[in-house]
Amino acid sequence: MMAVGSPDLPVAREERQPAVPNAVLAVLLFVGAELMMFAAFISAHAIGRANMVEWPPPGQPVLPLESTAFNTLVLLGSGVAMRYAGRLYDDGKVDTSFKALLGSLAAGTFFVVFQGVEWARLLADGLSFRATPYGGFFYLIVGAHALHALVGLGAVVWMVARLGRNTLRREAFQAGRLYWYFVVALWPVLYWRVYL
Amino acid sequence: MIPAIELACSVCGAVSPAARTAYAGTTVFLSLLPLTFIGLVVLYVRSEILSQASVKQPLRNQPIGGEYERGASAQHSAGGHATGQAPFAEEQGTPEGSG
Repeated sequence: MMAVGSPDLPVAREERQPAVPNAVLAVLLFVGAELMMFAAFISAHAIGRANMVEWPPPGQPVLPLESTAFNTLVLLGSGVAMRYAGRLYDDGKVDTSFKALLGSLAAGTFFVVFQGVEWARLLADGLSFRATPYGGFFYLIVGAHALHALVGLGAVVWMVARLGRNTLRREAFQAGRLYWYFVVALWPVLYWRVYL
Repeated sequence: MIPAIELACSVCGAVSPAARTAYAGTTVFLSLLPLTFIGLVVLYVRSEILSQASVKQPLRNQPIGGEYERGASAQHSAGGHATGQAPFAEEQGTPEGSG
């Protein structure tokens, strides 16, 4: 009688791939935590706004709706370019994917720079962090998003460098794309809650 | 004798009906958002498992060296490296530390 698991028997070894790569799972967990943080900010903003008699408070500058709407479109374009780059990469078209990724990086950089210019203009117009909850919430929520966008831009720069040398792994690209989608998808919600 | 009903945050809901509505709305929002997110992640993982299973399924029940494998390897060599496409785009285990 032959023992089960005998070394004489040929054993079929099938290497199991994780359903979701570890890097993607880590970004998913991080995005979930950050999502709840922004949800808390938005909730506090909603209650603070409801408690105010007038919004924006008297003497405070009105937020730039049109220019920020244009900037929102630019960021959404960056997300579309990132999606396009991912699909091209999956199809094996690395050169075209690289160009699309560069486009996404350029649009994302424009968004952050434009936001910085708007911030400087609002500061000059007297929108301060401490004067009213209006300014405090604005700088907290938009600033937190800008920080995430800067981190995302760093990740995109890293991905561009790796893709240019053909050393970018699929999992890393997936994880980076997922984070950038989070940054892009979050902004229209923040624009709706903070600006409108 | 019976105490009045108090909200969890007496400051948030005491000022105006609008504030009370916002407080209730954000409570619902903050309660449902994590559940929605977890549900979406579960659906995503499920779809990934199903897609992996559908890719692996044709390889089973095939004789070793059968038509499928020969066709697949020929297709791989013709459509992958020979056309200048990235070899790592089809493989998972490409070394990362090389760059």
